[in-house]
Amino acid sequence: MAKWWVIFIADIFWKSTVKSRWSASRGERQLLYDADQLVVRICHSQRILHQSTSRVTFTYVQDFTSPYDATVVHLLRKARAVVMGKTNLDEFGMGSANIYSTFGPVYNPHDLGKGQGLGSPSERRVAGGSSGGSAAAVASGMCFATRTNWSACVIQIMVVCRLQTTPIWSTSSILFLCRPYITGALGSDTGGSVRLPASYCGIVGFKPSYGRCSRWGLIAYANSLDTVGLLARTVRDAEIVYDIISEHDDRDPTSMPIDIKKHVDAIAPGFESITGDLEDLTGLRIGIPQEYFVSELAPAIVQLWRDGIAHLRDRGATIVPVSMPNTRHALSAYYVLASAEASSNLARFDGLRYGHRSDKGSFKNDTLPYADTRTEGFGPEVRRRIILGTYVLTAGSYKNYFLQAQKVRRLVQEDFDHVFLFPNPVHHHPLPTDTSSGVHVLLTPAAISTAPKMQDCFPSADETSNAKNPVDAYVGDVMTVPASLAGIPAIVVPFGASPLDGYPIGLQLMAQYGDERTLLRVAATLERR
Amino acid sequence: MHAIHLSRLGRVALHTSSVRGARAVNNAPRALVNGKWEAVVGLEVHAQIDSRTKLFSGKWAYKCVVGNYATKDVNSLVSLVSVFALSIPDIVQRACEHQCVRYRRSVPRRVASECHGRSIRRSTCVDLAVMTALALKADVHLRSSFDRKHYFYPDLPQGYQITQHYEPISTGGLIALTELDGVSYPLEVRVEQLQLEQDTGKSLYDMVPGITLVDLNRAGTGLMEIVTRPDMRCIVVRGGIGGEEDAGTAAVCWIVEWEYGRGGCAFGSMRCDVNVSVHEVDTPFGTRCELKNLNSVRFLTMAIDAEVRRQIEVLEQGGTVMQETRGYDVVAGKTFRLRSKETAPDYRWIQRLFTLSLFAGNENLSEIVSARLRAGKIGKDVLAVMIDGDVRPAAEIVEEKGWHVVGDAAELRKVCEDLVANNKDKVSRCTFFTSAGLVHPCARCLTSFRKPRLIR
Repeated sequence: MAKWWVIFIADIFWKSTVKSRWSASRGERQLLYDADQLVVRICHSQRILHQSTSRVTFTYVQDFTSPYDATVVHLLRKARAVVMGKTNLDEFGMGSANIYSTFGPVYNPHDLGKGQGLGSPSERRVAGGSSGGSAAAVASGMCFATRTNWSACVIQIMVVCRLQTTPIWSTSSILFLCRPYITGALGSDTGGSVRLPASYCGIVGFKPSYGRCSRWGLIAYANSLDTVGLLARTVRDAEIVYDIISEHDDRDPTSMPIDIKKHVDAIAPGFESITGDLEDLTGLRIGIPQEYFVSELAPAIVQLWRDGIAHLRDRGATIVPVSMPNTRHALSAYYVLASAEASSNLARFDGLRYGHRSDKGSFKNDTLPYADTRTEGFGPEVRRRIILGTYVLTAGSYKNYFLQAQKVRRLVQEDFDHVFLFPNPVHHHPLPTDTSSGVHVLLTPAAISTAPKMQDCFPSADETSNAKNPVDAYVGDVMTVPASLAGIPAIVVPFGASPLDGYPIGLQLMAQYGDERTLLRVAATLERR
Repeated sequence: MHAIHLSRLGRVALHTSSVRGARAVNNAPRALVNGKWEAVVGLEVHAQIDSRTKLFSGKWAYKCVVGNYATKDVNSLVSLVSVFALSIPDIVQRACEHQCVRYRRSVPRRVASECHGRSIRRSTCVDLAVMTALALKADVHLRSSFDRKHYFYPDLPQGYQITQHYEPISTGGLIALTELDGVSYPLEVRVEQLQLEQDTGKSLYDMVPGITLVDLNRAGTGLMEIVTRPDMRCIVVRGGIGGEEDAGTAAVCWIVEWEYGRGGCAFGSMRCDVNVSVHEVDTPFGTRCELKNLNSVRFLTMAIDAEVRRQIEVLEQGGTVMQETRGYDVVAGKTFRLRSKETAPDYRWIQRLFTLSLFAGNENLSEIVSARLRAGKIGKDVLAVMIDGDVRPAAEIVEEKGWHVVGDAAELRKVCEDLVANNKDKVSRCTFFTSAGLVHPCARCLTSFRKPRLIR
């Protein structure tokens, strides 16, 4: 029987008072309610509301309560942000469409805007992954969410309601409200997990340089690629939140040390026009990398890219075509490296100390309980990546895959160093940049298409789906992955909608490592469309 | 990679040369079994570093957490799934219902965590490892790196062990053994490398029948792994145990006496793996077999003995020795196969995960050494200096002065106590360490009060 639950989210005043009232009255619940952690990038199954979910995927941390705040959450709470809840995401941050989740996939809130409710199941679009829940929440303004029936996939946007006796909590990114009235969300960007959903949902997605925000409290997927990212409605909001959370943290050794931070901020002063006007970009050099004109790019995206170039050129910027020849290898290198590190980081989930443990394992053989437990506990995408990662680390393939991918990664980094005006502040041997052709920022699309249809993301037996195999989804990351490999900051700004289906498209800006100021400055101009 | 050479530091003189390249093993007469077989032994010693902090530790306090969340329901047990789930020091899983022997809890003094591509800061563990390396007269590398070694085992909470396999903190080195150590002829055992690594937890098989308990308090503690070259020769007496003349044992004991290891194999503070092979004289070395899980010096001797006998038997019957990892069954007095080369796990190394850079800043190695090596182990060398710069070999000095070797721990302790009691005015502080027969008399006494020590 279908049940209709309507969850109302009142306006900010009410939220603020609700929170304080809840904190007072809820005693020991406070920890749960406050949804403390960025840690949980993994799926919980919802305890009381989704009993009918047949598949119990990844129950390792089903009832996991973190004993501590992630640093970024801690910083936000110190700044008196109201942490509202957690949102849905791809399990462990692995996925490009937020379809691999215990709670079901996240729908693009622009479906709602069509005026047809959620629309028929065949027309629903994904919100992007892996931080799709956060993007959907920010994009939809958290007005309300409807859940159609028990077993259908639903949007879980906002989870706080006085009607519930137990808070619903679905994990991952954190929604928060900072005074005054900023709405934003945190996500984790390993290969574009924040920027892709931002493009699909039409909001701003910002990934700072690697090391700017502390990763303490972030469940590791790939140590060298993970970054805490932000989703917000406007660039200004993103900047405000970024200023709060980008502090050095002793507990994260990859967090940018203070002396390097000073050095970086000194030599990358950021671009500012002479007039100081937001609309004036005289002196700014924008690079258009040729290799990003991939064949998979939808024509609507290309058109919007050109519009973006024109928009910036009209404001005085110089457009420079650049070439980064190693970009075409970046996607493969990323999946090799990320999967390898993931297989290492996820090795700790063996069901022995906590979490799900398989009932059918026999303990005679050392390895048996591991295999059953992990097979049952991990979702399909996670299993795929762990197996891939394990394979590339085996003795026979290490040299051919992992080591090669590391070398490709270095080449991709050097590509970026060649085109940017400012030298990379953390490389020991900065490469000489040709100042006549160096650029401040790069402008590319954020995705190769608008939000794909849900059914196209799941390969199906009959021919209704466009996806032939799960790896097809990986190509969606091709625009965002190089910036992750190089660790440079990148931001996605909504720049319009596709004339064909009306779904939003975002443009991506990338700047040299540590140069967030320039990036945010240019993004602010770009979003004024 | 640069080597560190140590020059004279005050009153303590250490050897300045470091071992580079191959050095011919002693030319002493070889003892052969059956007239033609010679056993070749190499050691891998894992010594727990005596520091208060774990190798990589975090800053959170666990006591309250465990109290609140440790419930009977495994699923609601709080766990550490953070990116730096370096170790889970105190959380006792439901399966570990007993009160484990509490090893030293980590009190994080410095934060040193793993990361990718960055350096970790120095810590006590690193200092002590460097001390040991210097005392072994090894080359200390300013830059070394850590790797991840993956395998699944219940006492390995992260599914991988952080170790230094490819670029260790020191390579080379020498253990010089003399008759005083119990070998029949002077022997120099070359050291391959010394590396830092994480300890695993402890599996307890005997406490509850049918259940294996895992104590994770030990997980993450720093270990020094000292790998020697196969320079030791065993004298095996058929049907007996040539314990006293076992060079392997001697080397282990020598390492046991380090100030920096806690000594005492029975507690697992030091564990040994042995590589044993046999060959005929003047022929290439035979295939080696690794013996693991030897928890005491006595077992070590017996296991080597049993394995040598086994290999000789196989070879004399015309068979070939397979490369295997074997364990030792005390009751049967035989070694048994744990796994063969084919079933050896692929560790899926992630190499050079992050680097360890020593001496960031202006700290000077000699300062550290002088600060810590006040009453260092190098008994024989220290003795020489203490007797007013007499650099004759220790043995000579002993004979001349009419001292005798104090072999018994209790006796030594009594001697020390007497000494301290008689010289109360000079002694401000005295600490006794007793473990496995090792006594550090007056290790922290004032420097004005000197007492020659001969330790066996």
